[in-house]
Amino acid sequence: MDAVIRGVAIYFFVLVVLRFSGRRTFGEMTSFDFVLLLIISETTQQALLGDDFSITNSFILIITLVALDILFSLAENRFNSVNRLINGSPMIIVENGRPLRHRLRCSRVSEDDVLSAARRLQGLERMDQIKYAVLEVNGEITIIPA
Amino acid sequence: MSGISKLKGGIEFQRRTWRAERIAWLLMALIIVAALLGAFGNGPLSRTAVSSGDGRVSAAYDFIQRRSSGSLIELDISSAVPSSGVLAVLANRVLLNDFRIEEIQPQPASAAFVPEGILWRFNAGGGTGGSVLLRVYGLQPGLKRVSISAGGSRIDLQIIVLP
Repeated sequence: MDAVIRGVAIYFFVLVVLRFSGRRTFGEMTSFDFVLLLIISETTQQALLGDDFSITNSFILIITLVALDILFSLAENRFNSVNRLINGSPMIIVENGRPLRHRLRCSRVSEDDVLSAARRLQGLERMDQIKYAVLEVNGEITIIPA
Repeated sequence: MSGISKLKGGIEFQRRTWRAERIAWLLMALIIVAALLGAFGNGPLSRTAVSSGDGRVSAAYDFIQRRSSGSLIELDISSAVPSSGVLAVLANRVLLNDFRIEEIQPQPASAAFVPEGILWRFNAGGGTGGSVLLRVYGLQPGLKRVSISAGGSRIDLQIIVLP
């Protein structure tokens, strides 16, 4: 019984913590983000298994976690509000060459991040060449050129 | 409605999300400070002491512990040692069933299971200095009521084991 409870509790906890950490935390994976991801996975592994390293326990946990994932994906597809709650929604951060500074600050995205994405994705040099820059739900920045 | 137009309409939800994020960050900071102070075990906030009514037996222990994380119960029984020099210490079944006793210092001269729990006998002349140290590990989360009796005096320890 406790294997299922552990799996559910840890899944929800990690989901909530990552959701409220802000989407930039894992959007553009830096070395620091990668190290953080490794450490979180090691921490949760011990908490999931506890003292029980049996194959049975790991099977139960795997099934529990996959079932939760399926449940959430069904809920996201069925209810748009659940999708927005869990994943957030894309947001315009540059409009007609003008950076929306309040949104950039609240999202912890810099103008340099936007210009970097513009160079990488569209080969653009300047902010005024950008019609829209959108911060996607996964933390990536997409660019629509002017 | 174009894709971009839909994005323009979603800013109010985003503002609510930012507010929730800031509150969550504050909560995380408070949890970190509380953890540093031992509110979740292993720190000053979780350490407490209890004495018997007559003051002959006392203990210092962590009233908040984490499951499978070791914790020290320091028993002071110096005032309860009889003239024979052999002190019987009885711990109730909760200590047996809900904790793993990893270490007892000094080692008791004998240990026996009795209906009430476990009975240890310590030779007070063996250099106990009147203190017995128990290193215990909580096995299951929940509120645990441990009682320890020595020389006719009893103390009750209330321990919260966190999952």
